[in-house]
Amino acid sequence: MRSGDETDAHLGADQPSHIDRPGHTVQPGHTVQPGPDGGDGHGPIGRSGRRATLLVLADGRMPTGGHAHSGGVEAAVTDGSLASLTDLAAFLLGRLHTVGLVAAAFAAATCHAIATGRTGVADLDAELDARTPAPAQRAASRAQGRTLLRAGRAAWPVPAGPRAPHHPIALGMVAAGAGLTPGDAALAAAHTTVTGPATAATRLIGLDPLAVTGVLARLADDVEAIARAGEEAAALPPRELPALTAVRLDLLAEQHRLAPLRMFTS
Amino acid sequence: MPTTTDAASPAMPRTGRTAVRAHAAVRVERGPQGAPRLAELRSDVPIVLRLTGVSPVRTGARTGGGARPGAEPLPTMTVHLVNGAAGPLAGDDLRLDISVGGGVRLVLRSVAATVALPGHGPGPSRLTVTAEVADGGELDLGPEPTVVADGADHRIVTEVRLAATARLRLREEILLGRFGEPSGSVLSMLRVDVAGGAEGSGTDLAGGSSRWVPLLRQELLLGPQVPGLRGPAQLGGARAVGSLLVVGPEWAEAGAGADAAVAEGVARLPLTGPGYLVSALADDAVTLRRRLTALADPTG
Repeated sequence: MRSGDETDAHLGADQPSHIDRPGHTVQPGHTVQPGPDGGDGHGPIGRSGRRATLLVLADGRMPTGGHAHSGGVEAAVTDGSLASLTDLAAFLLGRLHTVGLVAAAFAAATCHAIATGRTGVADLDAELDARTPAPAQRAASRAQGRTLLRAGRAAWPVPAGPRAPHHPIALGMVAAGAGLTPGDAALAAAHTTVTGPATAATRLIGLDPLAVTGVLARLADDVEAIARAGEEAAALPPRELPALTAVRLDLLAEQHRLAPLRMFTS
Repeated sequence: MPTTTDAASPAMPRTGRTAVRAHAAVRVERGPQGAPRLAELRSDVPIVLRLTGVSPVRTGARTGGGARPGAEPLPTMTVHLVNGAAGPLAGDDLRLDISVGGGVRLVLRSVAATVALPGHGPGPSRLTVTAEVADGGELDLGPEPTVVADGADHRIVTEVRLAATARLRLREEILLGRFGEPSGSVLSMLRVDVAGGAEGSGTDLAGGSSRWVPLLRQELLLGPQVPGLRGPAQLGGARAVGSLLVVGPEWAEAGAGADAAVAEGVARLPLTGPGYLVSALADDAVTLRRRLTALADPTG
């Protein structure tokens, strides 16, 4: 298994896995806003309740429609390339370090854009279209984005924007509305990049749920590293945001769309 | 040559070869008679460019006076890229600028595969290709594969800007290692933009008024250190990775555009903008080319 302190060429070898966990940047009782609701929908960074808010956003039980999507797992199971726990671990690692980084960066960039008003959310959404060549993936991402926005608007004052944006864009919008930071949005994006497919794999090939939880736990350092890289990219010009491609995911997405029998939408 | 006999320090290359910098350019325009005109062909070793074909041949017969786009083939120039030296090697910084004017087509090929090699130069080897295509022009850029030799660290940056009615065929093929060899590392970044915004406004490639719409952004990071590269989300067991991007105004309309299609190891992916991407994986170069070709033409 890959350990968390391995360096990654793309993320920059000069990035030690330093302590920058969400909880370390927020002191309890530190904020000036006592209530959980910031008021105007742009809650101050570091308000109390931030960690708990992030847990609500990243909770798999939040009705975001994610349960209908396997993130390529079902097609990989069908073509025989994902048949074991080892395959799943490699799948999740590869997914996290490609589309996971893209999702983390775009979620963070959207949250950052709303906070600063410098870049339009629509521009980020168009840039993500250009990073998603498979039509089946674009459709799945927008379907999840729309559902996430609906759930998010029921919970927080989410700012206006596209009705059915890509999922990472929606995540950034909801995070901004919930008073979370770009780093929080990136962490939620990286987290859901692996948890959704892991759950799907458990259901599709009957993997031991305890063992799958172990796989996710061993990915935690990678998830943190990807979230950090996404956060660091948040202020880049949109065309320079990460665009890492996972070629088999593109192929699998279209195979799956044309498959005669499917349990998951994507 | 002055090779040092003592243990070479990291700062001192062990060979006399220093990293190479080169900046080559090719610019094709439509001449006054409608024939293609080579406005610039600048080789810079190791990038050597050779004009290898012109059609229609200049016989004096003025064809194409009233050429309608799509009705007959555009006046075409073919240029071949000849590698004037081995490599690229570590530290090499190569650049090729391509410009295609309106109403002409440039076909750019290479005579052989490029083998990215390790070396003692500073940092990775780099190849930067920029291309601009004006309204009614076409660029067909299809070099032979890039082979990433064991120990190599190679960067490929391709930036293309297309006017609203420009056409592009862009093929990229990467082979991970020579035959039976482990692979080095490669990062290939592709950015393609199409002029958008106000219709009818003269799309001036140099001008600032037209707005660029992102069509495709892809970064392929391949190499032994890449997490999960051999897993089922990225390459699986494939050693050859390739894509063919086709762009043109005829693919702009949703529904009337190219259909998605899949076959073993390959998919045709209609983009949000006016084009489609054929993306393929294979165990070897021959199979890769065959897969890319099989889905290259949505009407065939």
